[in-house]
Amino acid sequence: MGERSTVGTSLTAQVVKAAMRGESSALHEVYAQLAPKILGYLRARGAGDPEAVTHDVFLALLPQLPRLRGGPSGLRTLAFSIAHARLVDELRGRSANTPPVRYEPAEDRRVVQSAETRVHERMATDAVCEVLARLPDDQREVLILRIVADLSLEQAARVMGRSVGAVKQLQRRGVLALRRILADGGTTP
Amino acid sequence: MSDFTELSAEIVRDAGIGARDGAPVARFLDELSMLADTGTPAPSDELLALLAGAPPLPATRPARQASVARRLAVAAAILLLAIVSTLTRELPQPARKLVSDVVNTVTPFHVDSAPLQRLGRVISRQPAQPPVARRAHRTPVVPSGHPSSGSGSADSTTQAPDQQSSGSGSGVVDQQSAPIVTVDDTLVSGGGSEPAGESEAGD
Repeated sequence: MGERSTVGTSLTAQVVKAAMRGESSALHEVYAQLAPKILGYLRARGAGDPEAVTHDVFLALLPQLPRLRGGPSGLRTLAFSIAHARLVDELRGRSANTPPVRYEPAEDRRVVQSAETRVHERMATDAVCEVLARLPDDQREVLILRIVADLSLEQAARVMGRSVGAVKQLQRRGVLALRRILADGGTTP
Repeated sequence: MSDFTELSAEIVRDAGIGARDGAPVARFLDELSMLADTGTPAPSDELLALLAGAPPLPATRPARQASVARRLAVAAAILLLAIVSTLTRELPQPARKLVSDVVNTVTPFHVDSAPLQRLGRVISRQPAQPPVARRAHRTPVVPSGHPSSGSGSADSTTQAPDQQSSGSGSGVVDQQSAPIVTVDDTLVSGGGSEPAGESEAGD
């Protein structure tokens, strides 16, 4: 059983305000709190180079901090909105250049830490991604935003540009689909 | 469902799945949440500079602003040229009306196109129908052969009002019948069929 991450809950309004003023320590804190979630989101969504896209997200996010509204919640929504947009761009570019290929965890050569302690985690990650790949794209997006990015329904709706009701319905359908997949012998982590 | 995180349990519960049936899904969602704990990627050099508080590199915005400023300056110059041309009547009448409409609509200034239009009509009709006010400012000329034309010479010329009384005649010109010639010798009105000649002024 995985322990629920508490990362992100320490991103206080004071830290966000300091980051908006450009204080280096606060900017580092924002990066430390948000980067793992954005990286996990991009990895779960199948980004080609999640680390590079994470850097791009912060390169776009940090200059916008002085104009940020909404405190920590607004910051998280903005960060994942940028990540979502970058991911959509990459997926569109990839689909325009190459034919779609079914996700094969065994052939996934994406960069991860090389430490042996990560091997087990990587196997679990691959198994999770394999199950996620069997979900429709919008249902997968909602579940990842809710679980990995730890966004509320309202925040996820803003990131995806949909209504809260639509996102709630997608979440419900995704969970039902997951139950079917797991019951049919889908790879369980 | 108490073995799972609150969020996973809530999402499964919102889908209408019971605790027993939803356990595998909740377990899967918990494993999914672990993706957020795979470590913080090392920032790149450019990102490190931003995190250190360095101002972001200027993108293309200054170039865009300069381009926009250049376009605005060119547009303003063209508009100014059009306004000046309109006021100096160097443009055709439809173009003048167009410019005045644009100026009245776009700018806080007001260029009245109606006087320009009237002026255009006046200018075009002047030879046939001169305005009365304009005729009043013309210097009357006594036609040749008229009884009040002094020596009665066949020629007549432009005569100043103060010189009319110095002539040998009465100095009164019948404006109903005598042709009146403007300073530039343009025939304005008069009943005579003969063209006005020159008269000897002061005779």
